[in-house]
Amino acid sequence: MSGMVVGGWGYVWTAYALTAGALLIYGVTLITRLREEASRSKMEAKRQ
Amino acid sequence: MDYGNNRFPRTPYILIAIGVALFLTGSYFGLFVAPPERYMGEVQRIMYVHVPTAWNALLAITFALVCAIIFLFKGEFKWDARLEASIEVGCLLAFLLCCQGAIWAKPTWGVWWDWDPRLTTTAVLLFAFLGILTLRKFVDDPVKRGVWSSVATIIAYVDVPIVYFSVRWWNSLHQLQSSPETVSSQFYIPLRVNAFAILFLMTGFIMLRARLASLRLAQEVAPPPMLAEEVGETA
Amino acid sequence: MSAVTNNPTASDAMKRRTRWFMLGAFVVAGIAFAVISGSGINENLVYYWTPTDLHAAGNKAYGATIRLGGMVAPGSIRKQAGSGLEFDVRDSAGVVHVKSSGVPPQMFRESIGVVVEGTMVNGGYFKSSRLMVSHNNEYKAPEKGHAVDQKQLKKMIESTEDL
Repeated sequence: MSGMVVGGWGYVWTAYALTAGALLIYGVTLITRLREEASRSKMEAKRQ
Repeated sequence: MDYGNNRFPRTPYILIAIGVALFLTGSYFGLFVAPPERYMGEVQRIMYVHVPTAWNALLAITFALVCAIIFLFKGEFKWDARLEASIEVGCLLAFLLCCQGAIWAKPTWGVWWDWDPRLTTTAVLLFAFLGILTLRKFVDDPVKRGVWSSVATIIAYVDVPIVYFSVRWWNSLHQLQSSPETVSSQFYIPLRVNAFAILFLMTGFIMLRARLASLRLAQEVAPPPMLAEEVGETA
Repeated sequence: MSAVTNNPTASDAMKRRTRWFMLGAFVVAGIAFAVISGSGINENLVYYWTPTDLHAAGNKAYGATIRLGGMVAPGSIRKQAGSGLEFDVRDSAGVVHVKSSGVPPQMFRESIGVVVEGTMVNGGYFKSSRLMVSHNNEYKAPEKGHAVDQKQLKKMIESTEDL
C-alpha cells in the first residue's frame, strides 16, 4: 500500500492492443464488406 | 450506382492512412516519451487512448444526430446512409471506451466496473444505439426504417448531455472532466495526437460505411426507377 | 423524386410528414431531458452517501447495503489481520469509521477519495467488503526532484508494507 500504482504495464498494453486490434479488425471487415457489396451491385447493374 | 460520398473515392482511405500514422505517433509518445503519472504510474498511459475514444464516440453520435435531422428535413437517403454509418462507428468506439475504462479502472479504482452514474449512462448510450442498429435490420421498408431510426436517434441523443453532466449532477466513482489546468503539459502531446488520430480513423470509417449503406440502399430504392415516387406516397 | 440520380429523395408530401416527426422527436427528447436534469430524479438517484448523509439517515443506514463515499481521514488508517483495514471516511461535516475486509487498491492512501460498499453495523461502524478508490481529475507528472525513482519507490513500498 504505497498510494501509487506500481508496474501495470500489462494493463497498458492490453488497452492499446485492444484499441488498435478492434479498429484494425473493423477496418478490414469494413473494406471487405464494401468490396463484396460493390461487386454485387455491379453484377446487378449488368443484369438489368 | 453507388451514391453519396463517391466524388472523391480515395478520400476515406487517405484519412485512414493519416489516422494510422497519427495513432502510431501519438501512442509512441504516450507509451515511451511521456512520464508516468505521480500516483497512477504507468497505467495512466491508458488515458491517451481512453479520452480520445470518449471524445470521438460522442462526436460520432453527434454526427448521427445531425444526419437524423437532415434526413427528416430533406428526405435525402444519403443522410440515412450516413446515419447508419455514424451510429455503427459510434457504437464501436463506445464499446471500446467501456473496455478501456474497465482496464484502467481495475488497477486504479480496484474494480473492473461499478454502476456509477458515468458508467451506467455510457452503457445506456451504447445499448440505445445498438438497439437502433438492430431496429434497422428488422424494418424492410427503407422509408420507415430511415424515419424511425432518425426519430429514435434524436430521442436517444438525450443521453449524450446526461453522460457529460453525470459526473457533476451525481456522486460518482468516475472523476470530473479534466481540463488543461488539471493535466500536466507533458501529457498534452500524446493526448492531442491520438485525439486527431481517432478522429481521422473515425471519419474514414464513417465515409466507407456510408458508402456501403448507400450501395445497399441503392438496391432497395433505385431499381426500378419508378419506385422512389411510390415510396414517398406509401410512407 | 430522382431515383436514377445518385441521391434518391423522398417526395414533398413525405418530407412534410417527416418534419413533423422531427418536431415530435425533439419535443419528446426535450421533455425527457428536462425531467432527468431538472426534477427530483437527481435527489433520488444516489450512487453513494456521504458521511453526512449517513448520519442524517440514522437507523435507516443499519442493515441496508449502501455505498459510502468520502475522503480517507489522514492518520486514520490501521491495518488489521489479513487484508483487513480500518480507517475513517470523512466529508466536510461528518466522519464514519470503516472496517474493510477487501484488498485495498494500490492507490489507497490518506486523503484520497474512496467509495466503500457495505452496511452500518451495531457498534457504530461501517462494515465493508468492497473498497474502491476514487481519484480526482488531476493528472500530473512527478515534480522535478521527485521523479519516480525506482529505488526510492521500492524503499517507500517496503517501509509501508506493514501499514
